[in-house]
Amino acid sequence: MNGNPLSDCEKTFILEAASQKIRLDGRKKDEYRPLKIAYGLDWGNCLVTLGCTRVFAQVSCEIYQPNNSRPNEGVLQISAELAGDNKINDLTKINQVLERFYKDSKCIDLEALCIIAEEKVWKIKVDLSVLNMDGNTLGCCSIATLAALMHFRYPDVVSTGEKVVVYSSSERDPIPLSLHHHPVIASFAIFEKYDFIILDPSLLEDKVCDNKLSICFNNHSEMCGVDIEGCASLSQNLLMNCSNQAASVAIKLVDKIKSAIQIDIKNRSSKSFKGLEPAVSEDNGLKLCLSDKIHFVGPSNQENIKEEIDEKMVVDQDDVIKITEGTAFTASHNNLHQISKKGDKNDDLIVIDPESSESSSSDESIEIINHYKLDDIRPVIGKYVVSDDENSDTGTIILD
Amino acid sequence: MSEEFLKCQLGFLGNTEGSAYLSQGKSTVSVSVVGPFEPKASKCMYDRATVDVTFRRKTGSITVHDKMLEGIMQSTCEKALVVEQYPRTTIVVTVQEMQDRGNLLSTCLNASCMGLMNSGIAMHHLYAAVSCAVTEKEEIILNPDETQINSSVAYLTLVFANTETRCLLTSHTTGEFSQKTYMDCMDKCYAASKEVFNFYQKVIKKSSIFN
Repeated sequence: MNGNPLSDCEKTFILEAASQKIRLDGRKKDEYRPLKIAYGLDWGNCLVTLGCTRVFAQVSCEIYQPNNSRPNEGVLQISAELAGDNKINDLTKINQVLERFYKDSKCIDLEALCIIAEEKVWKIKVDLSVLNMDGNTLGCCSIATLAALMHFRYPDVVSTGEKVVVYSSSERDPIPLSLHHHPVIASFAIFEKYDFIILDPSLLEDKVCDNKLSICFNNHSEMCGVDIEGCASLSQNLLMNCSNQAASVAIKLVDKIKSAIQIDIKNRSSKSFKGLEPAVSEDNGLKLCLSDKIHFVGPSNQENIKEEIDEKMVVDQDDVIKITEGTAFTASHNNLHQISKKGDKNDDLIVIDPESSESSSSDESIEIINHYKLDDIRPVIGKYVVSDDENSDTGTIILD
Repeated sequence: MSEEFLKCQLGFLGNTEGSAYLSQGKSTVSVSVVGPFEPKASKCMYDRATVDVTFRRKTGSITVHDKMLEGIMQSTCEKALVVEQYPRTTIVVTVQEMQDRGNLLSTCLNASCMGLMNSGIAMHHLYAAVSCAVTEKEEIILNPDETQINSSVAYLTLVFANTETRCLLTSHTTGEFSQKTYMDCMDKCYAASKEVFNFYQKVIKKSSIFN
């Protein structure tokens, strides 16, 4: 678990390895873990896997009133949240850095998102769910953000004076966002003492290192932001080296995202495209195909019992139970016990009906227990048990 | 319905006790199970574990309807777990929607069961959810797609336990239907749930090292 503190053994082990310029997972110091980008059926929906770090992104848009200071600009909002991980880790830092790098680098043409100045603009929201943290969360989040933004399309809008018409995707093709450039973050972990700088740190390296350096570069090798976390003092040379490295990494990453989008758009035209789904391989994962013919394993004399009961219903209808067609029956987990009785007592009908219990006690052939609670585990006596539960407002009928 | 019905990958998240990534038709969810761990004092119960199910939409915000789905999942999970075995702890199940093309509730329930299986937390029984739609001609479609759900008169999600006798755990229904239809749906879904349990067995066999 992430919340577990780092043991001293682990720490010294990694530092020892760093002193020999070796990484724990055998990577070279400038080697990225395998990156996988999978797109979903919706626009702007992707799952990015970097090693074991998994980030899921969804871009959404809504019409929004613009800020007074910028009346003709759309709004971009990025929020990262933890899902599936325990809640000990805090993502505010990642949120801040992402917002700073992506908003302030002006990569999105926000003016193109204006519908009517001072009244209506598009608000683009990027929701990142960090499913698993295994180091370089910030880098993975930035890849997911960019991949989702590049993939996203918003509906076409036409404003005719006072009216604003939003076209659905079936009427008009949605429009992709216009991006000026594609910034992406490369993260470094620095072991100052051993002069060892590594790209794409894993979780342990992330925890042990002295300094964390995140540099944001776009595909034109222009710097969009730097974030330094930690206490080591960095020399100018080191920073220059790192930024050169980051620039080349950014180009590679953007290319990778672009090719992933191209593959996705190609797949999208085929009908069998299913979007996100688990990979099924030899080692892990399994799939199930349901055949057309499912053999029924219910009670063998199901049909006969049903007919029998139907007859009884008709006979008893006027004085015992009023059952109208189309009544919705709900069984909650509370009456688990009663349902499981079905197997051995085939000719029992349990009726739990809040309305029709009082008037029906005159019939001799039927034994009636009033106020039969749902969690009561009394055995079923007689042909019918009409019961009443004050707490539940839904009647339940279980037949066999 | 000879197309792929379920696809699953267990243990795909490293930092959790149990996780599952399941796609049912075109709907995909991922589930992570964390715990049992010590909660805040206010959430602590001296004789049993508390089960906390969180449902997350991909856009972050959840609606009243989603809260209801969360409640259904919570009660189903809680019944299945042996909560008495883990006093003063909490078990957190997070269900993240990744793609929704109908049958979201049954997908979430199946995925949560697989996540719990993967976590190794003691359970009373397994459960499998199957959805079906009833058309105007009283036809029952198992595991319907989005258009079939929209054109149906009733839509049912039934959850069964893997016991010898037929044991209905949860039933969530919308629309109008006769009692006979309900029984028919139950028969069909029960038969399909057997297939799902077989699938669970295969997945566990494959993912465990002792196969």
